[in-house]
Amino acid sequence: MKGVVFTEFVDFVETKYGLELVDLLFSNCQLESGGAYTSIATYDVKELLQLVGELSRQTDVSPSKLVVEYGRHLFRFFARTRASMMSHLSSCEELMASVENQIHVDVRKLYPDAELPSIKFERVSDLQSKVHYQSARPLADLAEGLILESVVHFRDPITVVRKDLPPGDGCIAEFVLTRNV
Amino acid sequence: MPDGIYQRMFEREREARKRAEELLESMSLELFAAYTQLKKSSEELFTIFRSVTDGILTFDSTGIIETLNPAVERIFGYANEELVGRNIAMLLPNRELEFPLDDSFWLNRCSEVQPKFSTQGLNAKGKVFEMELSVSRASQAGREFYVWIVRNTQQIRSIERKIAVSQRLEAIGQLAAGMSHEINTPIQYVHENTKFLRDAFEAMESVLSQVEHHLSSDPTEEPSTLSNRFRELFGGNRLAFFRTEVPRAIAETIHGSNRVTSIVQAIKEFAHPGNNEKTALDLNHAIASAITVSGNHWRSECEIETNLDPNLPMTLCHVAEINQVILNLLINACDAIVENPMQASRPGKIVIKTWHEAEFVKLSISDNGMGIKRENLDRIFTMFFTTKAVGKGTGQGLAMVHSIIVEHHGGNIDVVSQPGEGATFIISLPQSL
Repeated sequence: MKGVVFTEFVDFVETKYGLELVDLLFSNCQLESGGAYTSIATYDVKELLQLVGELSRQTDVSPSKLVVEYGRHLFRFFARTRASMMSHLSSCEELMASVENQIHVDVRKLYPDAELPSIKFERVSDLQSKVHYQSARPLADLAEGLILESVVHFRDPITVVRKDLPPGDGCIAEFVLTRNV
Repeated sequence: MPDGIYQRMFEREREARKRAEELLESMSLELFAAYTQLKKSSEELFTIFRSVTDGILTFDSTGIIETLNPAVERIFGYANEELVGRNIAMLLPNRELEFPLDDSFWLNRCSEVQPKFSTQGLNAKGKVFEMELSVSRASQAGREFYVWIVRNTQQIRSIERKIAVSQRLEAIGQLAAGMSHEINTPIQYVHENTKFLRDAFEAMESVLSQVEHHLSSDPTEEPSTLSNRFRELFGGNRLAFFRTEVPRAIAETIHGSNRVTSIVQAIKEFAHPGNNEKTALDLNHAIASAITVSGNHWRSECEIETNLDPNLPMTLCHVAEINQVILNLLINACDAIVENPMQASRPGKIVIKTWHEAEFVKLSISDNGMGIKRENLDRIFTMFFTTKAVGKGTGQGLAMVHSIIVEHHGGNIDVVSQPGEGATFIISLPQSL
């Protein structure tokens, strides 16, 4: 998994819980990388799951809730640092529709070895659309956080309902986006 | 803040920086290698683009020329800077008829609809010329544009004509040995008969001088004495011999010289370079010339039977090219007979027929040679396809025949064959008269 997900996770923990908790997480997790993350490297997703598990233990907040929260943080980071990639988009649906055919295409140009999830967008009606998430990693929570924050970013009056799909391990999920009339 | 936190954070940051530097260096090397490879590929592609003999030109959907290769400069006679930024319409005649050359105009001419088509081009000197064009639509980074691949077919026709001339001269070269024999035989008996006539005249000269002497010396001599003297002079059957042999020698000599004249005339007609204009041709006469020119090639291998339509209309054609076609087919027929393993038990025969149907003049050349295998029938008119032994055939003869009949004359050529039994080539040429 790309290093930026790890460096931003550290930034998220430090911003929300402070530097001491970051230090505690690294001390308790005994990570293979030692926690010396750089955004241009690639790390095993297990390290992220280890850190989330430890953060959950230390904060008493469920891992799922933490990862959704981190997804929101990550979206804000992308919106700030990759603004040009989103400048031509005006809604959450447009963003979701462009993930697979534009954003992931560009990511693969930069990182040919990137293992990206499949994000399929389907417009059901004028008011409703569906985003089908599928990944080799159990990060449906992260996808949820990203989608929720994109709704905030575009100031869209949209309600997001998540439905986990079998086998229910967080690798496959469907998000129904409904515009509030 | 507990002790050591900043120290550990510093250590992690330092490690992260070192890792990032290593990665950046590695990426930088990869990037350099990729750039080098890309530059090499780009240079190779650019070299190909610049060196191809077909013109390659791109223009946008409004017809504005963007890029072109040197072949376009050669074909149209403009420099690169005279074309880039100008409208493609300047390279086409009758612009007022084809305007607007908009997107739909080119879309209808794209290679999916028309793989390639013939049209006219307009060069820098204002001269209209024939060209072959293929148009394709391309897209790069969301930008649509058109690609022209253009070929000056007028130049190709000119090169084809030069090849046809050299082929014809090559054929004449190959036949030269045979033709010299053709000429040598009548020349030999012309020579022998002339020598005989010279000797005969010398003998007659002595008789005539004695007759002259007698007439001038004694005009009163008795007729009986005179008869005796003549009998002496013409002794035995000498007079009868001369009276029989001299006219025969003269006739043979005239026949021999006529034969030489007809061979020379046939060679002259055959070797005539022709010109770009079509002229009226008597196909029967052309067949007779080809039979004469190739006489030594076929005479020892087969007989030729002709069945020529006496009312055959003249046909408008490039005479030299049609001569080449007839000779090629005749020699091929003869070669097929020679190569036929059955030849020993079956005398070789070539049958040439002419007739006319509707607006077409028809010619067929049949042989009872080895025939053409079924799997080769579709390929015999393909350039460089040959079943002859190495060094015997170049595979250009029938391709040239097809090109001459179909492309240059709007005619048609068919072949019917039964392997082992022989083949018949049937040519249709428009009368156009």
